[in-house]
Amino acid sequence: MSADSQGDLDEGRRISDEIRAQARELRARGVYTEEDLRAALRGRRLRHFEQGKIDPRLGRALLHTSHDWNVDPAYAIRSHRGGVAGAVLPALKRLVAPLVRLYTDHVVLRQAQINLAVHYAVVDLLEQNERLSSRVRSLEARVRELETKQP
Amino acid sequence: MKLSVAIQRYGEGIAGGAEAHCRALCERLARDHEVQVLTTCARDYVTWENHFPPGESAQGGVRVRRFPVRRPRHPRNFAEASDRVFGDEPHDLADEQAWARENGPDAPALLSAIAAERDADALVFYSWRYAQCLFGLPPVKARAVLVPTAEAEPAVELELAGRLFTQPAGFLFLTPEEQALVERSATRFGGRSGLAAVIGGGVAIPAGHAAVAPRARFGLGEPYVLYLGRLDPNKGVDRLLEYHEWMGADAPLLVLCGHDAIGVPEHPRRRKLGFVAEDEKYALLRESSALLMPSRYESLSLVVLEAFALGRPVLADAGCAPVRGLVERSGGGLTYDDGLGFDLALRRLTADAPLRERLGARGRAFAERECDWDRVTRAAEALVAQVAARAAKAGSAP
Repeated sequence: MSADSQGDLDEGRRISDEIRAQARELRARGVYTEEDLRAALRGRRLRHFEQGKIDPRLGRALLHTSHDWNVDPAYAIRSHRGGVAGAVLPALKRLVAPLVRLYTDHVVLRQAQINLAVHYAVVDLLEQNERLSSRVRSLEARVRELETKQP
Repeated sequence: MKLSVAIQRYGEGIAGGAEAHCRALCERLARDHEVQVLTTCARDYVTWENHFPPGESAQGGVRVRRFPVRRPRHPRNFAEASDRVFGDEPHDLADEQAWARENGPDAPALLSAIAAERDADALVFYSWRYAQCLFGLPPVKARAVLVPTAEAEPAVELELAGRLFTQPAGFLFLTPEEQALVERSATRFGGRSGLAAVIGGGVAIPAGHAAVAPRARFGLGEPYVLYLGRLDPNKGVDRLLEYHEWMGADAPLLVLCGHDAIGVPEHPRRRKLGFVAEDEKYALLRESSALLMPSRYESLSLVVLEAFALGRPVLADAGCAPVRGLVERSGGGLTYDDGLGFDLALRRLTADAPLRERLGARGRAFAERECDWDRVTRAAEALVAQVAARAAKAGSAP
């Protein structure tokens, strides 16, 4: 075998390109993988965030598997005042925070649970919808193919 | 020449492509030159815990000087520093330097030893992202040769990286794609400094594997494709497992060798062998239908070169430019972009034995032509000698 000729060296690249073209053709015929569905779902959610003018950082957090986006009862205690008041006020706020949180934590935590439940339900619905859409596209492509084969 | 080589870890049994490349090159350079390695006492690149005793030793003709790590890496501090630098909020060079300090290894005695190397004709620095390069190289930049081992990761886009790449007197790159990556990073700060050569990597496969029959030893009753390396998401293994599972019940048997960092679950079409001896590793590679390379973060892949040397085709993720470049230049394999491409390419490879043999033969020819350690050593030696000569002419300071 003349492994040194450029034609031979290009065989792997040529086959890889043929496979890329085959993948494009399969997608045009409505064959979608889990990865394609995930990408489509991600794209759809990003569009929703953009349309809703949601803070892009929150949007990215919502796409992440962690729940860092959710409400947290342990809010940061700060003061916009300067000088002595700026130093004393946060200290006083920190002092009374445990008492305040005694009454607010359970409400905030319940809201966090509701947020999670709604979040998962919506993502699941979007995913099911994307799956059904891709199935419809696939069937439409199949119908078109069969129609063109009819005499 | 009198050469000093600075690297984060060094020694036998240390897994890591940069470390293996460094050791192979140092031992060959030491045949003709006075070579000393300046390194830490660490073995683990995640914790930097001291493992080896500090002080001097000799390994493979190389003088090795180890310096203790003052403080192991603190996972929370490192995560916070990483969030500041790679998160959404704006950050500055000071944040990046704080990230570099947390990244480590924190070995002040190593940095002092580098700065005190006044006798060395040249200093070679491995792996740009670690402290010995980021903080150790600038004071001796006129005699410094950087082997960046840069990967297309977010860190290489940092100002810290771009500025570092404007300083060394010379660069040794492992692939043309790595050189392009470094040059892009340095563009914003006036461009890459110094001389440069692409030296690649060598392959030296010990003959012992010929005596090992891996199918019998590991009970592999059918043809298999192989993954060799850490089972880690950073190496693309999670993606590889998913792609392989999506192929369904008729997927080829996937054999995985290496430390399992993610707890890969059992699967009827997978075999997890864990750590295997070196001879077993090469025997498994020799008998495999193909090597799978799913990682997108490599500056060079020694295991790909080893597959080429053993005449086995490679199926690689095209998202890693250096590996894609190797596969395409050699003609020794196929590349894929996604799960569908992986499925089609793997089915094509496993179904077509003559194709596997043709690709394997081209890979082997490439390994014989390009991956000879003597050639790599001569190329490195030539550039380092040029840097040393220029530094000597300029008065060798700093």
